[in-house]
Amino acid sequence: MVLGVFAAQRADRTWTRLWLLATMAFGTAFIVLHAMEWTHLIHEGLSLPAFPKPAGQLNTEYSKISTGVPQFAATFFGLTAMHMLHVTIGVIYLGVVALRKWFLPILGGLWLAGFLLIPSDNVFHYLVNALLIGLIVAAIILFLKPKDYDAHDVEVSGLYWHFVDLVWMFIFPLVYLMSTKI
Amino acid sequence: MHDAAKHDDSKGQYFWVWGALLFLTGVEVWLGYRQIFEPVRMLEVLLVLSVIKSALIIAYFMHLKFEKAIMRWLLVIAVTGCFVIMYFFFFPDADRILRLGVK
Repeated sequence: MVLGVFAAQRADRTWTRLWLLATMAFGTAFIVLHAMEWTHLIHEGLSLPAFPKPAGQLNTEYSKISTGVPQFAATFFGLTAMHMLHVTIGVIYLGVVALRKWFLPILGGLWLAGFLLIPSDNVFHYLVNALLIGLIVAAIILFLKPKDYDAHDVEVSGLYWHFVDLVWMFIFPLVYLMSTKI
Repeated sequence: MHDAAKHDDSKGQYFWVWGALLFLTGVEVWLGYRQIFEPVRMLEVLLVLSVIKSALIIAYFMHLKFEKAIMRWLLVIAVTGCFVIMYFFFFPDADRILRLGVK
């Protein structure tokens, strides 16, 4: 992201776009890996009542925690869901700044692929609709307020991206590294 | 927005900051996997390391170090205010976990 801001400041459009796309790729990889982690945990039994139930659930420690201590699953999924949503918004934001109207069909294709390929017993079959909402909002902004995004716009999008990263600096140690047992 | 001409344009500086963030993350992961400290001490150490990493990101990547002093003061006062509010309203309840048998 920093290198993208540098490229924008020296008015190098090609490298600004490339560095922003690279940042988006890493952000997307984070979302995909996090979604895989969620799917794995839900299959192990850690879930919320609102989530679709995977077939053949075992009587695991996680399923006992989900029913006996519901605050654990609610806190974990709530916190990581909010962060994942903001990362998704950030990726869409960077895509709009990097590619402008060309990003809309790409985002639409990603939503459609997610909706069709993710099985309906997976919570992300429904959560992928966040991309559709992002597509609608991005289309409204791009068509109602068309703009040639300059170095200031890239820098502001960088501020949002670093804020999302900052939140992860606290979530990762406190949720994943504490590993406290009761 | 700050004047781009005023701040240090050295790319090398940003790579040093990135290296420091990577190193601090490595320390956190090592402490977490080795479970070096008991939970309350671990929480304190991880929070301190997280604050240091956040300060580096805010100062260099978000360019606050190169902004006017009033911007830095606004952040420091706001964050300090948040911690004061947390101390009075959140920590007394959070201390309950020490009596719940956390290992």
